[in-house]
Amino acid sequence: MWHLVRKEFSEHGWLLFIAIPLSLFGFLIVLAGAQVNEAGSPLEAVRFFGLSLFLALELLLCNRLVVQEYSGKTQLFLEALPISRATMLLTKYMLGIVIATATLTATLMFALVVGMRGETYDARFIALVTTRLTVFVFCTYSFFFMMGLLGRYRISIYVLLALFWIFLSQTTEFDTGNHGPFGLLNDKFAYERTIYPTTNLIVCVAAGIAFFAVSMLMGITREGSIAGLLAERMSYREKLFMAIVLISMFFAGSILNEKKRPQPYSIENGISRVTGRVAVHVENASETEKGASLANQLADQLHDELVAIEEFLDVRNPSKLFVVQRSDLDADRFESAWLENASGTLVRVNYLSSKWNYQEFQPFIIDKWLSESTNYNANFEPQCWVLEGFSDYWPRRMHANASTEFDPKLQVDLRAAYAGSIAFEGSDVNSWYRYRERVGEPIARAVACAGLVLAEREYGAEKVREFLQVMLGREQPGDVRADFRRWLRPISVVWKETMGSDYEVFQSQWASELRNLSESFKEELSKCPILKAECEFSAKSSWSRELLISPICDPLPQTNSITIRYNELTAFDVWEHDYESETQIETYNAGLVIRVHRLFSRGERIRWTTSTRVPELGCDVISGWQRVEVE
Amino acid sequence: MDLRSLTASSSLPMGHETSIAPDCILRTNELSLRYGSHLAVDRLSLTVRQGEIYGFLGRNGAGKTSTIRMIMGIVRPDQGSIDFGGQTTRRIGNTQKRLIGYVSQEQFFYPWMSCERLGKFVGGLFPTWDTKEYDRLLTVLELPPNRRVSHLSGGMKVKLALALALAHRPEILILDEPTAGLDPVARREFLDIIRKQAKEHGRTTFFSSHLIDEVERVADRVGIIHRGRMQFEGPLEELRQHVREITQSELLEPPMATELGLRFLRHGLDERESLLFQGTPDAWNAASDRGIQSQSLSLEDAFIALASEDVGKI
Repeated sequence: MWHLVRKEFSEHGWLLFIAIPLSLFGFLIVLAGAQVNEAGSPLEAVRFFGLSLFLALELLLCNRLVVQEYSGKTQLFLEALPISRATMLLTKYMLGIVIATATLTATLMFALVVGMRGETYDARFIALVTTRLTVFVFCTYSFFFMMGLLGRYRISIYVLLALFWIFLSQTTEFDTGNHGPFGLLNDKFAYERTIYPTTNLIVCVAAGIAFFAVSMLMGITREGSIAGLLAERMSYREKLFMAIVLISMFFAGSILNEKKRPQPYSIENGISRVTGRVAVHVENASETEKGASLANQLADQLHDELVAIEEFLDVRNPSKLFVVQRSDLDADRFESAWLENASGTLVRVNYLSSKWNYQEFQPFIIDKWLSESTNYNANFEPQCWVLEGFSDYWPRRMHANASTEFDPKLQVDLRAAYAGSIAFEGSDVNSWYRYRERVGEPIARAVACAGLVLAEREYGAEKVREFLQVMLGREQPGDVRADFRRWLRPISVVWKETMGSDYEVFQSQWASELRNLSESFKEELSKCPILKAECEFSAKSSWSRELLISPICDPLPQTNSITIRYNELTAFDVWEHDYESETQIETYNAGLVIRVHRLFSRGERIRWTTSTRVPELGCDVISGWQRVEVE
Repeated sequence: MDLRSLTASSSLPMGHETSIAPDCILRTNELSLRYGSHLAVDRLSLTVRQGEIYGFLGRNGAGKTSTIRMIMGIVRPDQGSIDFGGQTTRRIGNTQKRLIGYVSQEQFFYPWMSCERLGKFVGGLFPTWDTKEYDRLLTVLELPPNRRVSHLSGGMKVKLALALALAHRPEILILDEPTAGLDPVARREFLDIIRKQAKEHGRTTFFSSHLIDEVERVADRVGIIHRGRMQFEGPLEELRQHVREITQSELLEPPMATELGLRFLRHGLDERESLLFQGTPDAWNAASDRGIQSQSLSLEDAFIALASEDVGKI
């Protein structure tokens, strides 16, 4: 076997010597470039590498190791030597997979080392990403190996598979980006810390075994004649046949190009407002005239709002909006629902409440509607601040006569100033979700809004609109193409193209602007408390622990109360909605130590913060969400 | 004259030995190989003795290469066995392969390798590889060690294959139509090398060909295969004695031919009014005693008689 390995290295070593360093160099560029610096994790670079350059490298490897051997018929020379066909094939398979694994492992290790500067990786997480990558390599390499043995038909089959993939993506509800090997390197790859994608892993291992088995069957059965015959050149008839098949597939694909979207969600007894592609349906849950009037009013408000946004952002596939009345909700609590088998944006609110305030609801619904309309592309770091900023920017723009001067009377401006007084660095924009956990959702949204207002003042409204259209509007694919689009045209590139200025420079300007703002609004901010808190655990038994939280609020909260928010972290801890947390309201006094009304078990992971209402800001301020493991 | 009954004589080829000769180095026992519905080799048995040059004759498509691929372990026979290297097996393994030097009909060397590099690669697979011998063979065969295979002519490639086959000092050299595609001069040179190897090193050689003159030049014994079946196996002179031509066909009644042990092969060659039969010298003597005169044939005619499409048919 070693003689074969040496032979393979002599034959292909020079190419590997060029291809592997080149692909690794490509990985380093991705890692070092603006794209990854702005991404939430350096492992995003591994993901991008795995789905692009690495697949190309595997294709090249199998082409060299398998296709070249059989098309040159040199396997007939090997057959006459004291080497079995199985040994020959296994050598090629093992050599290729070892090279592929080593390449991807190198990128993973490098990314982990880089990532360790800002993130904590536990053994489970490393085992998880390693498992995902190992199975990904096994499945994809086995596939390319098998394709290599298909000889003259391999290119046609590649084309057919690509067409089929586009067909699936375009015309069915099948989510191509989350199945099979693509599912192993999906957008959760860099962040999911606990849950193994069991189904995808099983499918990929099974597929890998099947590909490997088919490869061995082709290479060994009937004395290896199948692979040998397939490696022969295509006859004229075959070429003609394949051309006809491919052209037919292409036309069939064009005809079926109309994407089959899931049926829209429907609500009974709804009030509908439809203009063009924008549709708003509000449930009329009350039998009274007043209730119907409120439902009509809400439908009109939402309809006008969304039509204006659609026009402003040039949203090509606006999501249908469904609003359901929930009388058990507080007026300032809004819930969005995940629609499993239907399309649209479904929210639950209590618009019949006497405390209902449309202005409070406005940022929430803009955020949710645009998330859905952009196929959630707008929610990805590092560009997610644009969506959050727009949800405050739009009402501010509409209701403050498009002023780009910050006004202390506007709560959203005061919130931004508040953020400037506690901490905001330009680099926080790149890890937005982390920043949002530090300051809370309303403050973070105001900061993002301030960024857009500043951009409008600096570069003009039209340029900002163009930028917003690229990020939030127009056509937004819902499959792997979106990932590639984000990689190829990250926000820094879009910013440069639309604004004509450097994104990093703008981030510095933005941070500076907020600091100045906090100075300008010093008097207003003096009434707004800054909240800090620490926690410790007290043992109640060998396994149960009590959580003690010591908040420090300076100046004292005007409401005189402080709220503890906490929730147990589930296995998938990337994202937790603040409203899903448990709350405990206490009266604040200096030196207060709050005993949380729940015991925790050792090893449990929780997320907690303290908050207090600040009337000047019109929202809560928080001490910052913290994640801790109960010791 | 009804000659149909003449074809019913023994199915075993004349000269075939049923017991293992003491100096036998390679023997196949009733090997059969089928490609789909086509029976390429049909219960073929042959014996190669130590030190001899065995010429395996047959027309194109007769089953020579299939037989050799079975002997080489490249394909597995559907039935039958092979005795080689002290073992009887359906398919020979890598251990036995290391005792064989093989030159295939077409050479599929790695074009990027030089003659020297190819020797290193192949040498690594044979424990008995003799690098000095390989270098000597390259010199003798006038093969530049540093020249790439892709830059070698067809004749040079065959020579290179021979050098590779000999350098590990195999017990038997198996050549599958090695001279096909070579010009007459190269062919002659190649055959001289084979003969020299056999003479100087006592190398057992099994080579296939469809050219009778080439076999005549070097072979000690021949096996003639037709439609996958062995038609004759034995020394060349015995072939002449076994296959003869009878011009007085009217004297040979069907029962008499069977009784005499003669096997009808075909009608006379070159549109001659004659019949060709195969029989042992004793059978021919008995025929002569009954007044049936027969004439010997050239080796080529004897081969054609055994390897014709209409063997055994009227």
